[in-house]
Amino acid sequence: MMTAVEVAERKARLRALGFLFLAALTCAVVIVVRNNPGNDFTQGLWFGLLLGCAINLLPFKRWLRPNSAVLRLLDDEGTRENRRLSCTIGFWAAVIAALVLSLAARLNPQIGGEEVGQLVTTAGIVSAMIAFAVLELRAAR
Amino acid sequence: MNGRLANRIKTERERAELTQAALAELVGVSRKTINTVENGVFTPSATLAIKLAHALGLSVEQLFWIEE
Repeated sequence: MMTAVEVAERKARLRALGFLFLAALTCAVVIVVRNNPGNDFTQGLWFGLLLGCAINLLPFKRWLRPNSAVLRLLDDEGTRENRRLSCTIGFWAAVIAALVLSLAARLNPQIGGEEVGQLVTTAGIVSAMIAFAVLELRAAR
Repeated sequence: MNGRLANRIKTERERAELTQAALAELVGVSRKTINTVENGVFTPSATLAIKLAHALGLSVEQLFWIEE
């Protein structure tokens, strides 16, 4: 029988790989959204994916089941540090994306608020997810 | 204050014939947290440092020190 530490290890690895997959999927969807402006389905898909990614960056399962031993291990102090660091990276990625887009908007006034909003949020959330996944996989080596 | 928190967790863990997973089980954290603390990647909280020292039968000062 697997111990709680072994179960947590396996789940943490799956979570990190899932984050990488979700980040890649979100990037692909945002490209599709930008190539098909006005398509409600792709807009909704992008929004749903991004919301799912943002929620997954939070330790919400731990909040729902605070007494679970495995969930406690999946949100121990090492993981909390990785989450804090990845959210900081996500914040700076969003700031850089906003700065780049504000400069691009000066050169191309057709860049709209919706486009900027989508790209800035995607940059922030996707960077945070990739950073979290890499930190978690590196810690497990 | 400058300096890095060094430790002898790996040596003491091996002396106690414990795997990273077994030590993790004893102190209630994941194996990757033990791994990152052992390698100096992550600085543990005072609580975790005390738990690690107790689990290995040492004082915190024997297990951790500041390397200038």
